[in-house]
Amino acid sequence: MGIFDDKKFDSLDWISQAVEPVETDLMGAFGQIPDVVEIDFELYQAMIGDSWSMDLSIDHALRFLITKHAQRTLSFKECEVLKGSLEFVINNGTEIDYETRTIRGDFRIVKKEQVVNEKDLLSLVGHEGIQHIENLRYSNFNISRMNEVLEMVGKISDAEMRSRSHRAKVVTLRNRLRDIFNNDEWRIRTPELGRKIGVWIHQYVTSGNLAAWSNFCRLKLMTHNERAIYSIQEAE
Amino acid sequence: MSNNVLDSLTVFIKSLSVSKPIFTLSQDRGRVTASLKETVRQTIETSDPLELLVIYNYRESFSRDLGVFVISEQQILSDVGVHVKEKLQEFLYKYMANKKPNQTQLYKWLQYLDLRSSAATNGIFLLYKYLSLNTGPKQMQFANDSEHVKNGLLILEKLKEYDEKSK
Repeated sequence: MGIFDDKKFDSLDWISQAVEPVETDLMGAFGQIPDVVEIDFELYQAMIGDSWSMDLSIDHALRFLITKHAQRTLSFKECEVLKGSLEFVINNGTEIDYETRTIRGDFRIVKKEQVVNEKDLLSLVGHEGIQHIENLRYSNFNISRMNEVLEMVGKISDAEMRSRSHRAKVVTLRNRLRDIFNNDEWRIRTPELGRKIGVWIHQYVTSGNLAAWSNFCRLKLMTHNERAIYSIQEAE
Repeated sequence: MSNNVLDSLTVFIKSLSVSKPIFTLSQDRGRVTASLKETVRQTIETSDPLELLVIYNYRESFSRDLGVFVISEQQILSDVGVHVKEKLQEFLYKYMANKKPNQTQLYKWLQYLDLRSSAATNGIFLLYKYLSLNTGPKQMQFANDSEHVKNGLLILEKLKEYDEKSK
């Protein structure tokens, strides 16, 4: 086994290697939610939580159900991807009565879809990593190390490379990474690895962390293997 | 000076009924909205101008912890006070024998009067009641030479003096 091997990819069956599905625990967590959830008074109160409003959004309900059934929290982006798969079913004239602490009428949350579109899942990859890059705007970083990163990600114009503005560098890097993930140029298949790209870059440009740089370079080299990437052997 | 009028208004407010805590649930674009099924209508019959003002300014808020509607006493009293002051300012503006009534000491005193802490609060509310009960079909409209106008202006002057002395 070489240091550029992807153990997780190698362990996949041939169909998965051909299809290259996005690997995330999100679908497992979503699967924990029952297909139909009857909402009674107590559940409605719990879902609203300590909100000042009496209204209930599907985002709120989804976050509550994931926490309850899968003991997991959702990021904003994950919530955006999943919320289309749930819907409220509510009959006309359904009432909530605080005197008797009951809900009169039919009120349920049902799953519209059991699986989420692969394209939507792919949009999760890199999202958190890009957030780490955004955070560089508020950090003091080394501009020559940033230039090394920009050279590594490629497709950066000379004018952008010559710029001495920290903010411009961050914007350039962020836009380039956004293109990479949107166009699936590097074929990263786990949101965790996408997040780590942002973390490694952040660590390297702010503190010169060589392990982080090594990991990033290793990943970049693996993108030339012409296959999906699920994991890398990280340097400590 | 005790604020007897405010006390009696507070007792009146407490006698008002609140809405039943029943909400209709409806759905709109992935959001369940709860709207009050039936807003309370106050059935108390009264001709007292201050009590009518209280009913007009009735406010309640829903306490989810308690599961009941709670009357917002302070908010109602504050709104009633604002209304009373506005009406008396209009009265001054209309009937003061002055070219620029809003630049007089009396008008400015009334404008900045804090009804929560002033010694003249009781008098202000009672003056509003007196003027409202003796007005024509339109609120706070009198003939220029009306005795009520003279009384009103005089009482306001005295209230100002009393308020300034008690500070």
